Amino acid sequence: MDRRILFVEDDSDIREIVAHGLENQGFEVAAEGDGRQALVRFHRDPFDAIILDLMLPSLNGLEICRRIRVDSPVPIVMLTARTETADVIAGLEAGADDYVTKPFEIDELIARLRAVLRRTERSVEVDHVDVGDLRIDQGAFKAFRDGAEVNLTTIEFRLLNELARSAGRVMSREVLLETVWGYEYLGDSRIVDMAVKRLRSKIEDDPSNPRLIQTVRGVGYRLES
Amino acid sequence: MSSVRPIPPVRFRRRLTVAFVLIAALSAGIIAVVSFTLVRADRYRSLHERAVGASALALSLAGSADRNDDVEITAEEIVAHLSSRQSFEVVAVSEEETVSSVASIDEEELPSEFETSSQDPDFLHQEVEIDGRPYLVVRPQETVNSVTLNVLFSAGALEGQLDRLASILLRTWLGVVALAGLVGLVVARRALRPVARASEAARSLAEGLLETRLPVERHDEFGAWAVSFNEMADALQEKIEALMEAHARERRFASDVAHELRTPITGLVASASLLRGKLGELDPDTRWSAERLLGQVTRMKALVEELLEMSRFDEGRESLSLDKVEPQDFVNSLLTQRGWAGLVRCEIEATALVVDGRRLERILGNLVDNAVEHGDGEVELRWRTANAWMTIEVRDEGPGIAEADKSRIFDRFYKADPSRSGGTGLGLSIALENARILGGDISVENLESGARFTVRLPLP
Repeated sequence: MDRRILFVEDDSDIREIVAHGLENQGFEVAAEGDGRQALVRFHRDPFDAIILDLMLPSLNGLEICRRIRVDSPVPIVMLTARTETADVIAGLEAGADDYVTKPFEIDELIARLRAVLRRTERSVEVDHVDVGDLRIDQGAFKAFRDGAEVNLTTIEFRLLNELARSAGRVMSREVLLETVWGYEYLGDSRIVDMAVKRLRSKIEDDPSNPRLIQTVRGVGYRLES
Repeated sequence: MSSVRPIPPVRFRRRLTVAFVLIAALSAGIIAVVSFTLVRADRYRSLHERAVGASALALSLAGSADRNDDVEITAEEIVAHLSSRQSFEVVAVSEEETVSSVASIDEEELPSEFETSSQDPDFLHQEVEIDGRPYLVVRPQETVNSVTLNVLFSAGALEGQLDRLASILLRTWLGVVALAGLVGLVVARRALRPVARASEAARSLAEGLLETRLPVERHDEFGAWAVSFNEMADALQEKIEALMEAHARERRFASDVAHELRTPITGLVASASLLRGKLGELDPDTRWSAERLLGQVTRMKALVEELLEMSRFDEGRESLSLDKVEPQDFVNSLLTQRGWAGLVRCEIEATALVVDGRRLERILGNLVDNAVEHGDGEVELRWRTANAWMTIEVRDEGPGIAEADKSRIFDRFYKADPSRSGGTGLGLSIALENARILGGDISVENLESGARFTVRLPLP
C-alpha cells in the first residue's frame, strides 16, 4: 500500500534527496517548498502524513501545523534545526506528533514516519475500553466522550489507548515513548508531555486542572479509572 | 569575581563618632574642671578674708574684755565672751587649760601646723576636717594674756555649694558628651553618605550593572570624587561593552557557521544514507571510496551537531527536562546503543533518581567515548550516590593526562594528542557544560595507570 506523504522543505537539494529516499521505500511523495502552497496542496489532495520543515518562506511550519490541526488529525512529523530550544516545544504544542532533528539519516526519518502512521494492533478479545465517561473504540480507532466523538490524532489516540489499557496505574514517559512512538530507551520525553497536554485539551473539562489524566511527578502519567 | 565580603560602612562611622565624642568630652571636661577650680579658689579666698576679719574682731573683743578688769582674763572667760558670736567657734588654749565653745572640738583636733595668711601676716590659718566637717582655722599670732585663740569657721555651706556646682558641671558634661555622640553620628552619616553610596555603586558595577553612576550633588571633594568615579565607570563600561560585543560577534560567527553548515550537511547525511543502502552494488574500488566518504560524512555530522550544541550553550537559553532514571538500565542501554557493551566494567550503587536524562547521557556518553578512545584497555564506570550528591567516575587504563594539558582538557577543540584522528575536540567541553547546567562539575586526575574523570551532580 502506497502511503501518500506531503513533504514540505524549502531547500531544493534536500527536498530532492529526501523525496527520493522516501520513494525508494515505497512512499508516494508530494514535495512543496513554500508554506502557503503546501497548505493549498494539503486541502486539495488527501495525504496520509506530513513531513514539515519549521523554517519556511511565506508561512512557517508552526503556522501550517496549527492550521492543519484545526480540522485534521493527519500525522505530522516536523523537521527541526535544534533539539533544545523552544522550537521543539512550540512544534509539539502546535500539534506535531514527532520530530526529527537536522541533520538526519533517511532511515531515522522513515522510522519516525512509520511510527506515526502505525495504528494500534486490533485487540482480539475486546474492541473497546470504557474509562469513566470515556469510551475508546479500538476497532474504529475512535474515542468518545459522553457518546460524542473526540477528534484525536493517531498519536493522541494511541496515547489515550495505552493509558486506558493500564487505567489507574502510572505509566512512565519511557514506556509511553516506546509503546506509542516506538522510541528506544533514551528518547526525548518532552514529546510525551506535549502530547498529554494536547490530549488533555481535548478530553478534560478544565485542561489546566486535569481530572482524568494525572501527572505523577518525575515518573509519568496515570489515567484515573 | 572576588568573594571578599564588603566591610560594613558602619565601622568608620563609629570611629568618627567616637573621635567626636572624645574631643567633646575632653574639652568640656577641661572647661568644667578649670571653672570648678577657679570658683573653688575664689570662694575659699573670700571665706578666708571674712575669717581673718572676724578673727581680728574676736581678738580685739577678747583684748578689750581683758582690759576692762584688773584680773587677767582666762581662756574660759574669753570663750564665754565670744561664744555668743554665731559666725564662728573658738578654742582658747592657755598653759593651764583648753576651752572650746563647742563640746565636740578640743585641742587634739586642731592642726599642728599653720600657714601664714596672705591677707595679713599677723594671722595663721589652716583648713582642717573635724568630725567629717570642713573648717577653716585662723590663729592670730598675737595672744591675749598668753591665751592662744583658735577661731574656727565652718566651710560646710561652702563645700555644699561647691558640691552642687560640681554636680551641675558633671551633669552638663554628660549632656554635652551625649549630644556630641548624637551630633557626631548624624554628621558622620551625612559626611560618609557619599562614601556608602560610592561603595554601593562600585559593588553594583562589579555585579555587572554597567549603567551605575554616582549623583554629583556637591561642589566639594566628594563631588569631585563622584565625577571621577563616573568617568571611571564610563571608561569601564565602554571597554566591557566593546569586549562583550567582540565576544558576541565571535560567538555569533561560530553559531552562524554551524547553522549555515547544517543545510548542506543535512543533504550530505540524507544522501549518504541512501548511498549506504547501495554499497553492495558497487565495485570494490568505488565501494572503498564510498565507505570513506560515508565515514567522513558521519564525522562531519557529529562535528556540526556539537558545534550547534555549543552555540546553544552560548545563547544561554538552556532548559531542563527531568526524567526518572534507573542507573543500571540507563548505563546498559547507553553502552549497548553506542557499541561499548564489552568494553566497560560497571559498578553501580545508585537507586533511581530524577534528572535530565538527555544531559546525563551526553555527559556519560562523551566521557566513556573519551576513555574508550584514549584508554588502551578496560574502562571502568562507577556510579554512586552519597548524601545529596551522585558521583560517577570514568576511569581508563591509558597514559593519563600530561600536567600541561590538565587545565586545558575541557577547552573547546583542545586535543591533547593532535595526531589522533577522530573526535571533534568538543566532547569533554560539552560534557562539562552539561554538568554545569545540572548544577554539578567534572574534575580529572591521573591515577597510577590511566586517568579518572569524576562527575559530581547534586541530587534533587
